[in-house]
Amino acid sequence: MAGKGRNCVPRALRQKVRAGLWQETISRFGENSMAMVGFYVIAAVAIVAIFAPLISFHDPYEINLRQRLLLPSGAHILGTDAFGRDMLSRIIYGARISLLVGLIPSFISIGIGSAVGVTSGYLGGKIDFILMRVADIVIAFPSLLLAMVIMYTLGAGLSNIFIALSFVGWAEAARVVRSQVLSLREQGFVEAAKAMGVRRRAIMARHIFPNCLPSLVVLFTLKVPEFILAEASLSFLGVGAQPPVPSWGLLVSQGKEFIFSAPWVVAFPGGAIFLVALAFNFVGDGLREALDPYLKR
Amino acid sequence: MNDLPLLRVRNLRKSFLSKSGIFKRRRITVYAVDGIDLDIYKGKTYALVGESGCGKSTLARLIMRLVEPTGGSISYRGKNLLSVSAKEMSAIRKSMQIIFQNPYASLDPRMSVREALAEPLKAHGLWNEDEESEKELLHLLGLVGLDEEALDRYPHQFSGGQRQRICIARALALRPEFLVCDEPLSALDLSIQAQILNLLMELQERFGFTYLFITHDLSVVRHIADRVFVMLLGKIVEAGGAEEIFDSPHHPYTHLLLSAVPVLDPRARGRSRLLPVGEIPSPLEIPPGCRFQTRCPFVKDLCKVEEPLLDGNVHAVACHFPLNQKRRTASKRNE
Repeated sequence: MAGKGRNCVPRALRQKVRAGLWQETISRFGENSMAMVGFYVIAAVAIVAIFAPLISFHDPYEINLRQRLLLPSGAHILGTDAFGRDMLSRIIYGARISLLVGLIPSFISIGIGSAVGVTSGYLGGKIDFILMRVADIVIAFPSLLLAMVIMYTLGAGLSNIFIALSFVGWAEAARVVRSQVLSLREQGFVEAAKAMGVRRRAIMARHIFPNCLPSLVVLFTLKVPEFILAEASLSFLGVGAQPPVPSWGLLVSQGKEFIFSAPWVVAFPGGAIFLVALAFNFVGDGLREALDPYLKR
Repeated sequence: MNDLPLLRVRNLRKSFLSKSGIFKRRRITVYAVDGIDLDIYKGKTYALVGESGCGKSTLARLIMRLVEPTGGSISYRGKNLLSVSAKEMSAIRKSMQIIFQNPYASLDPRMSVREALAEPLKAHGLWNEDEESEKELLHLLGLVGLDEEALDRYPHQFSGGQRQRICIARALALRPEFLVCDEPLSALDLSIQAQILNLLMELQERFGFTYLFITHDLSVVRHIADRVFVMLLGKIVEAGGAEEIFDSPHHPYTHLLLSAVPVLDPRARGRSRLLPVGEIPSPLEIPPGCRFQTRCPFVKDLCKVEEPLLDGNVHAVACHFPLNQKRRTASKRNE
């Protein structure tokens, strides 16, 4: 009883404050410590990526064959690779590529996916059938294989990675959005808007899409690590980023020959991928929780 | 009463296809609304009563053109709503509005009250980003007894009664003349029900609204309605003035509904109540003959063969053997 009473008072007080919906969500997110850890990790990686030239002591491309495969030390904190390049600097510069590869295709694929999903779900009928069958085909294909085929066709390179990953990712976003739209479409407020004479396009833009946003935010945080890992896999297989670009996946790929003799060459970039992917997953979970109670109310 | 009704509904029907069986091969047509005639005149309050699932809400949605009818006609001020152009329909939408049953669902949770109230105005090009429009919003809030503070808040920060007030304010934004209230009270607490009902009545007095009040709460109907339609499984079985229907219901179903209303009087305890027999027929398999035969205490052979038609002008009833006696318990209650 006492506990319940204690919880009731701040909520009642909070409701007096004119808080926007997103502010409320953010404050709930802030109470989740796991999610905040994830958030700080991502923020740190982002800062490191942005200020890479200021932070790294060495040129990530500078080859020094006399200092091959050095153990971590004071001069090279994370050691050196097979060409004597400083691992720390390469990982720092690699953060730029990995974050871009995570963020840009996520934006593009979710953008396309939500446009397709809203149209398909709200209009229904033949349009829905055709769009969803196309999405089915994309989903049914092993996504890494599909991305490889696209990369082979377009040629290696960063911008082609964006295209390939966006193409692979939109269908899932479309499915998620469509299922949301199907339930939103039957909601009272959509019917109310129709009764008021609001046009179909305005209903989609003002009611349906904004109510999909919470799940899109969560989907976004799940897509980012997925794409970072996908880029790492593509690079590892040799169709992603091309050497000497220090993408994290490529670092692992190039270090694989030395996995027993100089394990740090693989372990540190691998650890970076792991850390960022985990951080995004934490943030995703936190956001889902922060957005959920409000949706249920 | 002038001669041209505001809203005229003729033989309105809406059927749904219900598929069953593994391959959905068994198709059954369910008539949610099965040939309804209504005349609604300006300035009056009409009540549509009936049990859950009898098609009341479907009828409301048909009138509001939210669902497509299977057949029949709806005309508003002489214009057939089923054949008007989109532009004309948009104009007609301004003059007829609906208040929904569930105020928790009928407000978009991501829209502030300001946005929600502005939406109908925007949809009809009546919105300018200026002082005037802002004043209009405050005026609307004032009408329903809310203050300025509400504008920037979101639906989840309000109680059910307040939300229903917001829904009413939103419905008033376009200055309609005809309001369909689809069980506007059923999701609210008893004390709040009274407040909202009073609000609706005040607004009617002030603006001369015409109401079509859909409800299953008969105790409310007597207070507000001029005319009552009793609906059973998609058809109207009795129609008449509120007083007549309450004092001498002709259809056994109406009588049954009325005697199910609890009476707040200990002396009425043990009053003779009419009790139903049998079960409600499934809307999927409505029996031939009278729709009420399975539950009617007075059922006769004729009822199982021939469907009674709605007969009578002022007080119409669809029954082969209408009741005639006055109801004693209810009429003396409040006077």
